[in-house]
Amino acid sequence: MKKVNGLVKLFTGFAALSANANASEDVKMAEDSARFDFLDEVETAPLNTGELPIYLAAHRSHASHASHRSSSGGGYRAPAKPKLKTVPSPVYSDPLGQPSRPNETIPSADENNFKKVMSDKEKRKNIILRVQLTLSALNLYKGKLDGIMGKETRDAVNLYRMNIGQQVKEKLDIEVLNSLGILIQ
Amino acid sequence: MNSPLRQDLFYNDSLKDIFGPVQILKRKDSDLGSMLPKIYINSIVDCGVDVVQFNDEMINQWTTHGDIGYADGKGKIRVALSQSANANTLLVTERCDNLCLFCSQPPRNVNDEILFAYAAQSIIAFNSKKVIGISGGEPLLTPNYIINFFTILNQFENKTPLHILSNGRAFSRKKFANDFHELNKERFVMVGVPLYGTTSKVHDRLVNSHGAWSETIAGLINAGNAGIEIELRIIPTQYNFSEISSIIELAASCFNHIASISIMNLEQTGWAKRNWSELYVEPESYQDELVKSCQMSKRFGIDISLFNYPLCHIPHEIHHHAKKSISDWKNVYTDTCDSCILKSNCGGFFSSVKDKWTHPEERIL
Repeated sequence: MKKVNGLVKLFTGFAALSANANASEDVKMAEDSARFDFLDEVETAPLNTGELPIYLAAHRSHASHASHRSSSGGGYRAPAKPKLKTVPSPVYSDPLGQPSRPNETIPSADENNFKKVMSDKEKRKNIILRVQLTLSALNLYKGKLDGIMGKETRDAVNLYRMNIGQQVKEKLDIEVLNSLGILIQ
Repeated sequence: MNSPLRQDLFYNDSLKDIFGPVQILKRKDSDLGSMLPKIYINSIVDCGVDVVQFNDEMINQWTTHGDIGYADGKGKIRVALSQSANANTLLVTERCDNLCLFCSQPPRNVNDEILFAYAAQSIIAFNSKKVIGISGGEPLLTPNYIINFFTILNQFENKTPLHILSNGRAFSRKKFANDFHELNKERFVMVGVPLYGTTSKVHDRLVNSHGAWSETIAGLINAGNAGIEIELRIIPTQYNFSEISSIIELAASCFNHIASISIMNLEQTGWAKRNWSELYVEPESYQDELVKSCQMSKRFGIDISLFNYPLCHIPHEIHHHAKKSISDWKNVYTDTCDSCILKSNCGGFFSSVKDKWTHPEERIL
């Protein structure tokens, strides 16, 4: 019985130790967190749009994918919500990881930039080309990759919109470009 | 341990709001008419209004004009395709129908089809003559996607040679194997297919999927008959290290178009970490089988290579089969290696290794 007691003591000691470790970690986290408070003021996600596209919403875990690799279990567990959302440069290399996509968007739609880009003939053609290419890859568009917004392209865009629950529209908009992973430039 | 040979992940405030694949340029380049968004790093001249242009010594140092990066929208960028890398690989999906016990890239069931679009745009913009690896997950899991992917590359007359890592099960559908080959008549494509056993019992156990062996075998037959070049991959574990030479004999005598065979030492990452003690077998304990396997190279006229074997762990007579195979972003040497005269020929170690077996043997070569 003595032996068991000893073990129990040992365990409590250990637990206390690790609790201490956690406590100091928390303090550090809090400090770090304060240091990066200013980042809350900064827009952190691709800001083609003001709303979180459904497609991207489904990919929330990706930004923290790097953490999967470092976890010793290597299992699928959904990543714990990071305490610091915006700490710069966690420098894990993860070439075969999912490229992060936006997991939050800020309501300050950059409509002006979008209009400006779309009024530039070259840039507009390039964006349409990338839309066609992406929809081809997604098996929704079978036409030519020519950068021209024809009926076939329009239908494919709307088919895609319907698939992911976006509103069908006549024209391209920031929302659909965002979910197709197309940066407006 | 030391840091990897090539750094590939960077952070810069100026990259906030930039997401997806981008092309990294060092100067204005009108010859480079790629469709990707561009960022200009350390350009001496002003590259124009409305362009993303900034100075970053780190990114500048580790990239070449025309490289492709994936940005995350929050300031982080990972160099995905680089002319200065010793190997370039793109991930096209995280989904897989095998669940290999030692998977280094454990699959997840997510909707990530868009990665095929990212990869296609990146490959077209990068326009490399050197081989680019396509990895997963299982890149051929949804046949339509890989077919569309090739169709897109072909429309841009892109001829980048590709090496695709696949479990080969998709080729068990003969039509798919033929279509796959048909689309790549103008392009060099090699498919790396792992075969872990001469029987379904061993293979299915290791890839943790019932019926996998039968489909992979059927796939290898169809792919070979269609004319698709195959690199056969074998990973020795406690379950199969004694039958490596038998697997080679089976492959070399039953399948067509086996271009090369790779025997790969286990990497301690992903699921291999948690299954390490059940799987890993030290090269020293199957030296004879390794030598016997390598000797089959002459008999069958097929290149047989050893991947991820530090030279000090294998017999001298098969050193010339060992390749410097570990990608630079995860390749390290220990301090002890510095005094080894074979270091320049040796593949070194994975940066993920954590156990004592990874230390070089005491006898420095």
